[in-house]
Amino acid sequence: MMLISVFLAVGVKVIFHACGAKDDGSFMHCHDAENTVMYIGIGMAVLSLAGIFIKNKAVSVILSCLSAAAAVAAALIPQTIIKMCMMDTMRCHSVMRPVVIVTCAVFAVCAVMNIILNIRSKD
Amino acid sequence: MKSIAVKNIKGRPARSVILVVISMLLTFAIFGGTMVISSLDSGLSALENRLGADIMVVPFEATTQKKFDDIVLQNAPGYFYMDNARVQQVLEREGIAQASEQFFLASASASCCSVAVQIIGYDPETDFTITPWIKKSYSDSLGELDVVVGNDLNAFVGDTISFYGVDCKVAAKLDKTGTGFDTAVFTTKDTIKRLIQSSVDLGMNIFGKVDPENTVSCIMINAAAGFTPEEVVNDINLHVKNVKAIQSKELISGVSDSLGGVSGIIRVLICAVWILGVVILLLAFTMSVNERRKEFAVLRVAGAARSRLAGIVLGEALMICIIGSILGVLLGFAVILPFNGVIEQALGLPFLLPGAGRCAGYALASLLLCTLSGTLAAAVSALRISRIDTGVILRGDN
Repeated sequence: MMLISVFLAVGVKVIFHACGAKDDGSFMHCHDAENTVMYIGIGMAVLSLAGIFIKNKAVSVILSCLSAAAAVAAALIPQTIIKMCMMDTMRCHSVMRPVVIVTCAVFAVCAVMNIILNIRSKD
Repeated sequence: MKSIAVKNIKGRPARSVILVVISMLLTFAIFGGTMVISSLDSGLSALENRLGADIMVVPFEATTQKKFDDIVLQNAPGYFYMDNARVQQVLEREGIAQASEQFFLASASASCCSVAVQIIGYDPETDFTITPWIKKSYSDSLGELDVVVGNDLNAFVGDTISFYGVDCKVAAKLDKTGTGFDTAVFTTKDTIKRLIQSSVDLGMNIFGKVDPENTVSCIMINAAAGFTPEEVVNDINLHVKNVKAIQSKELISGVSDSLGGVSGIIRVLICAVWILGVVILLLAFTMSVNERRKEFAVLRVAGAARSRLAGIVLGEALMICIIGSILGVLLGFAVILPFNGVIEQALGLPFLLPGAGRCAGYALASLLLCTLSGTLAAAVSALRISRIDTGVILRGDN
């Protein structure tokens, strides 16, 4: 989960970033979505890191729940919460949004599995 | 017997995971490849339907533009004009059953983004190419400053879009076609003339002082009965100066050829992956059964019928292939559906995903084909194990 969240936070700025700057140097709407996803990704990474060191079962379950909720929020940021560019053929729609959604879905599945494993564990 | 197959799978997790992964990749290749080929075919059909006319007549100078094909086929932003005198000369020629004028204009960058949008104007009274398509999404006639937007534009019914300082209302959003038409804006000739005039007034029209009342971008023509499109094209090109008549099928022949090439390569790859996958599964199951010949011999001595031994091997293969195929189909959906835009851009060809029903059909067919292939590959080993000579194997003489 730690690796996935780091991939999301770094990747959204470096690999599957949104559209570039306009000719006048200003940024389009999708740039805000990109930044927001990065901040949520950092938050998810911190939660995952905390989950590695915290051995208390209840706290671990709460952290996983928070992580799953953060992943859902990050998946909804591009277009649903923050509107993006004019055409679906633009990079923010065709590259950034699908990668963010798939990455967040994988992260959320891992978080849910972590919750189930924590609840089922005896200690 | 079923529990023995399950125990065999659980007992050798590494081997089972490898077999599931092979089966998954086999299904993914077949399902993904089929979806891509089907999407390309649908895209070409959509492009043919959208052109919708036998012939397109454009000003001759337009055909010398570098991106002429992109403008008329992919709706890349761009425009050209010819005066009404040339239009009249074309319309006077013989063999024309239907003719309608169209007007092109590329917007300046929209306020939100650094992209231009292609605006296409048509005459609702004579149009026979765009109206039937728009009618599917919007049954009323377009009022002044009403526009219809393509499916890939991030604008919705009721929104206002501004072009050259003129606010236009979005009356409808069109169905997806998988072509460049998805990023275009359609409107009536009155509205586009106003937009052209506004672009001229703002000094943003590349043709300078063009008169919107006296210009047209192209004429769409259907040949009359008794005339072939080729005859009409030759007649116009021979008798009307400074225009170029082009047959629609000629326009899309380049796209069609590219599409045929890409589809062919994908078909070959699917076959290669399928053959390779089946051979690997065949070898894997054979090796797995050979390793366990003594186990099967003991089961045979303990009273298991020959058919039961074959059943254990087939049951194991069936379970592995079903799990692998389901994962392969899920992987296919996870790659093709969200990333269809990237695939379309990478191929540079019209790309229209099939409907939900056809997607489900392809998924089911891929799942069945791969499960059947894997199970048949295991059937060879099952047949061999059902014929084992227990005495020879238990004595260790094999």
